[in-house]
Amino acid sequence: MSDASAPQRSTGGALLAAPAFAILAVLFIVPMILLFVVSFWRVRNFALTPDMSLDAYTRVFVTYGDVLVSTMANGSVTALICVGLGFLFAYAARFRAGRWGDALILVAIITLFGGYLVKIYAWKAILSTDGFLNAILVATGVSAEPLDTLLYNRGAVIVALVHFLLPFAILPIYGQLRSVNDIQIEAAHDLGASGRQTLIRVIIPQCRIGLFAAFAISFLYAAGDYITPRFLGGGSGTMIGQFIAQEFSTRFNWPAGAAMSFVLMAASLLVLGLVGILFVRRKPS
Amino acid sequence: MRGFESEDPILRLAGLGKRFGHADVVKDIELTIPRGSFTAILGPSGCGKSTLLRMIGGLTLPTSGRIEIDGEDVTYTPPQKRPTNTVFQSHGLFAHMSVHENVAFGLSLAGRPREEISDRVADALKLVRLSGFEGRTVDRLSGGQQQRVALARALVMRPKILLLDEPLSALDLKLRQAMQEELRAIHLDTGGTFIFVTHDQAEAFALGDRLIVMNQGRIEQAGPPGEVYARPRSRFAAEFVGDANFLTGKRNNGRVALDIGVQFDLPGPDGMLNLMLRPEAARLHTAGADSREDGRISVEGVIKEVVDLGPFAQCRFDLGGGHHIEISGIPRTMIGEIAVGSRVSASWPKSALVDVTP
Repeated sequence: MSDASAPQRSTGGALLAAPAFAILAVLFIVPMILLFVVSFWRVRNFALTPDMSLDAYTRVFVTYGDVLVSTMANGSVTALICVGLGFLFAYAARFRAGRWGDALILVAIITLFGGYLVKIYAWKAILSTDGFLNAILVATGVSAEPLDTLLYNRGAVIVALVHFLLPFAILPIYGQLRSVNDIQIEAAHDLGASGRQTLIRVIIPQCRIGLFAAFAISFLYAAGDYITPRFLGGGSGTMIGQFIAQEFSTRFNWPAGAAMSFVLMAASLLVLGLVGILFVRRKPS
Repeated sequence: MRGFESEDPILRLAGLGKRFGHADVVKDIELTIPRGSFTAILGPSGCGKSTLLRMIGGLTLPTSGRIEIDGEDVTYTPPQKRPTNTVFQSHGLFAHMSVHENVAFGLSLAGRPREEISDRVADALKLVRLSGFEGRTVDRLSGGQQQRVALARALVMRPKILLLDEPLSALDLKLRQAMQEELRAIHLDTGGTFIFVTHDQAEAFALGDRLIVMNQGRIEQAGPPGEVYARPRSRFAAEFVGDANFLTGKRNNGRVALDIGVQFDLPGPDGMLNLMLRPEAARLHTAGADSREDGRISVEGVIKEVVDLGPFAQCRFDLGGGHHIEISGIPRTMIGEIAVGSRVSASWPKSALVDVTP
């Protein structure tokens, strides 16, 4: 039966995928190709000149090498925290919350309504010198004076990114945890596994794809972000996205911006590839 | 209700009960299970049989009573520390592991040496006839093969008691029968104690050397399957283990008067009476054959409906006055003689009547 309907299904599938494919092609693939071509051009007298030059790429590594590394690090740390917290939340929703599990996930999704800029300003309000956190620190006597080190650094950027990205990390992990059935967990206990052994040998191995998806989503978003570091980053929290935006806008250096974009993309794929090998590879037994 | 008396019990349940909210799912179970026996727990869905099994395995904690395995109190021992292993209805195999890894799981947790693990896994897979399947992933196995892996995964632990929770109910009939045969062979091979939960009467009889009929959280009757079938103690037990006719009447001074208009002597207390008669215990008598043998109860009636089942036939036998009984096991040779509407007599030995008066 499935054999007979298979050809139909594939034409049907192609038709269903066509609109999304068209949107991706027009709005993503074509601009990417154009951008890739532009990355080898030069700028002369504020005008783009076609060329086959690697100047822009040289500029990326010479000028922005350290920012690139720092961006990858911030992205990775953000993604790891999201995966860790996301797993704890998803685990609690799946195994500890009973019939309230789905409600917990709904709450996590609802926090997305808060919007992205709102969260950045919220953290600004919390972490600034006359902010909420400092008020508490001073009031409780932990600190004699308000600290001006809470804001405008790497930590502030990561905290705000985690706050924003956590729901995106929770969803894929929760989805996979739901496919681990309760009988498997009972069977593991029945065969002598403690709670911890069940977690490590039965539950986590079955949601590796979800963990990786959570990492990938958080990492790609965090590594490409330029708003959060601009508002909260200050010195140590700068990220390459800010400079890409600058190259395209104020400096009008499209080749440099394009080259930075592609280097950022390549570096991100490299990080994801390495993490993917760690996460998804089947453990030899 | 009393369970079995046994000189060498492996399992003893005393006053065992489980309450979920306000509902008593299992009530006051008293039971001992002899070492090496194959016990079938039979009952309708919701009768508490799975809950009882889960309490023995430690997957559900009882709210009252006590569980002893091999003389040791394990009432509140977690499943990972009990000498029991369970085969689940929906197998619960680890989807991310191969057949070998699934079966080896328990032994590797127990820290057994590698050579011992691979030997014992190989033996267990041989026992369930899955040698050579070690490297397969479990989702590429058929339903029957998956259930056999689950069986091997439990057997390899050499549990003092193997618990089987309707492990065959998801399989089709042919496969189920083949698996029943294998289970019996494996029970003989290993000499272990098996407790098997099922709602299927035929399966309970095919497998168990002990039968426990459960209803509404209680043990309705326990004993060898043949005895439960022949001498049920309640209407429920009678109906659940097979087909049954019920004849109501009254007894006065040891004289029974059934509502179908028959009288005979049967000692017992005075009052209302409900007697059970298995359909195959009654015999039809055609063409004036003498049915008035000693000790037999004879009735006249009209054949209402005949169902030819192949090897045998069964019929509905109208006794007049709104009473009728089912008679089965009518031999093929008689089918031609029992036309619908014909008036014949039927008889059964008095000993075939079982008192199931509540």
